[in-house]
Amino acid sequence: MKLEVENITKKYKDKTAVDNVSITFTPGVWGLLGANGAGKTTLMRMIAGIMEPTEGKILYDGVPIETLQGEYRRIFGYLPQEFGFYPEFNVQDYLEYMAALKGMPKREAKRKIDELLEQVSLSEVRKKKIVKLSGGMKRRVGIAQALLNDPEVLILDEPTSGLDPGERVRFRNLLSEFAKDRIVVISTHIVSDVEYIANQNAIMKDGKIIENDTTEQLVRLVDGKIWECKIPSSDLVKWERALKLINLRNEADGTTSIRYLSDQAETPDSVSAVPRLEDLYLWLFPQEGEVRL
Amino acid sequence: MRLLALEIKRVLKTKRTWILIVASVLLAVFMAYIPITFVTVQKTDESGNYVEITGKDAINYYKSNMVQGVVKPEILRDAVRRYQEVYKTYDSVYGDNIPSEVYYEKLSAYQPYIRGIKEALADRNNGMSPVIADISIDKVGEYYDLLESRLASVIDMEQTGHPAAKEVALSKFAKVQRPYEYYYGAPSDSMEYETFFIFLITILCAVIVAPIFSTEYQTGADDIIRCTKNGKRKLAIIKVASACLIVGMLYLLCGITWIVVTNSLFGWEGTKTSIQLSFSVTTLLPYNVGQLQWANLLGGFLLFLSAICFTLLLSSLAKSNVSALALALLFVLLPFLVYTVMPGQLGDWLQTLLPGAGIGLGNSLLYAMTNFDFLHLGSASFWNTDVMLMLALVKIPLFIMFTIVVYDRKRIR
Repeated sequence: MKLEVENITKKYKDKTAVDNVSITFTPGVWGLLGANGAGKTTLMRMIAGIMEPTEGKILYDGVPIETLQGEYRRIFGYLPQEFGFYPEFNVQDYLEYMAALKGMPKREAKRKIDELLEQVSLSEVRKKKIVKLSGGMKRRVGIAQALLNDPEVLILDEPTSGLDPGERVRFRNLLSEFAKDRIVVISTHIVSDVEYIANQNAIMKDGKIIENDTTEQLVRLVDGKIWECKIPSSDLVKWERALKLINLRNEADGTTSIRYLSDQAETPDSVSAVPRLEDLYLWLFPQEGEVRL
Repeated sequence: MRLLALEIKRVLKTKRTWILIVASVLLAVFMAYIPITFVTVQKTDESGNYVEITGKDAINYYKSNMVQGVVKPEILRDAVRRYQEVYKTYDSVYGDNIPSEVYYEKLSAYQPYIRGIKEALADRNNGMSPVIADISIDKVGEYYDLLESRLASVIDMEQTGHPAAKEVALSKFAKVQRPYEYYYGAPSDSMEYETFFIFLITILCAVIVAPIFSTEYQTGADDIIRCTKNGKRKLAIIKVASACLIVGMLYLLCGITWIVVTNSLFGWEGTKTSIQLSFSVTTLLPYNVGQLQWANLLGGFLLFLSAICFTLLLSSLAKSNVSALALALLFVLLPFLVYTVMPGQLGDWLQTLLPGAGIGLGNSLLYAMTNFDFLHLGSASFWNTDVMLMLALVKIPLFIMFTIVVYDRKRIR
């Protein structure tokens, strides 16, 4: 099973959103990382078949998705960045409608809906109108509909936006169980969402895929560039200006532990740290860097 | 079928749909009831007081006092004699110029016949009807024999230079059964309320169906739906089918309600009246009033469906509910606007070709069925009614097909 993106380009009047991208997705969880505007959503919409590429083609098991049509959509699950729904639907009605659209038999649909509502903790609100749910709950309804037909190819665009930390953990666990023998692509700019569940990561910048490898291989790019040390809290402002800080934590003894990016140690007591995907992301997208307390 | 049921359930779950459904049914009853309020009888009671009877009592009065049945020449001669007698005494036969009791005692029972007699005897060159005093009793006996020549002269005057129109008209009129029959019932005015009701229900139903596709684009729901196995062509077919089923059933329910309420109020006996006694004596359709009510409803159904299917096409093209709705209303009203501002053949053709053809007032199907409007193409002439209905049969599948194709192929470029 493979999903091949071959030389895909998407041009608008004055902008190239996706620029000659080629990538082959194989079974496993894929993280598609990139800053806002990198072209992730455009690429996903083309993979979903709802946006026409300017050039290139997308093949599933060697057959263009335009040729497969309904057969491709039968094995496909998609959660777009903006989850749109009919305002008149409650959760149950919506999922029943989506199950029918996905061609699922009624009995199977009922069983699957019950199971998914339980998994995404929405059983209690199944009769509530979606429009009245919180942002996180709406997102979970979106996740449930994407998983309804047990898709072989699952595309999730910013699936965790609006979810609280607990919900994010549950989502990751759900996806880890689900992803066996399936292609799951998660587009996100929140690196922690994919760091522990993605086997492979593709990183997009300015419409191009600039890196594509396993998490272990990718983080090697920043081997020897990640440092940790403690500094007096009173010097924090000075070091914030001088260093590319990845993270910092105030300690009880009046010092601050910092994690920073640099080709060499910038303080005498700095020690080299094991790189993580987030470190790589901030190295590739320095303007996206946000120091979290 | 499951998807169709779910789609119907979805549309019926919206508050807007229910409000419009209830409004449509109430409108049907209201439009059937209004004409009864115009039926009046003014007379003096046993004590000599002037009284005005209205509504159901007035209807009962007419039912028991009108001369009814097969319209034989003898009835027509009686009608003329009575009118001429009154004319000799009062120099008029019209309400304001003669005592009301004279009108109700001597004339009202024959009133439905006198207009037709005057029309049948009208001057063949200028169409002017004779005054009552000049009508020859003997000539009235030839009433049914005069109708063809009257029709020919009307067509000559209205469709000058188009002999084919006269041929079509005469061949249609040859099928009209004679002698005519008259029974008191719903007046011809009431059918204008049926037409007005069809016009209003088309607008209400256009409001129901306008968001069918556009709401998906507006909410972004189509991003997910289009990625599902049945989310493209099949869903488009289902959506068209469910929309047509919902508004089609609503139209028929309301239309049948209108017919039942109208005839229950005025009396079912009146549906047997030849339409030539309610409209022109040379009306081309071989129907009685009841059949014309159904023809207006069912023919109107085709025109209604044509407008609805075009609204669905607009919905599949529009990006928002507001634009779909605005365009839908514009196109439903457009034939009426064309009728108002563009007289002549060009306007007639345009009205007929537009998606909402026959939906309106002066440009309605009823008007077309009871008039002598023809569309000309070279030397050929076609009765407006035939063209309207034939084109509706072509437009409906065409609009449905375009809607499905537009939705199925819709991809963001």
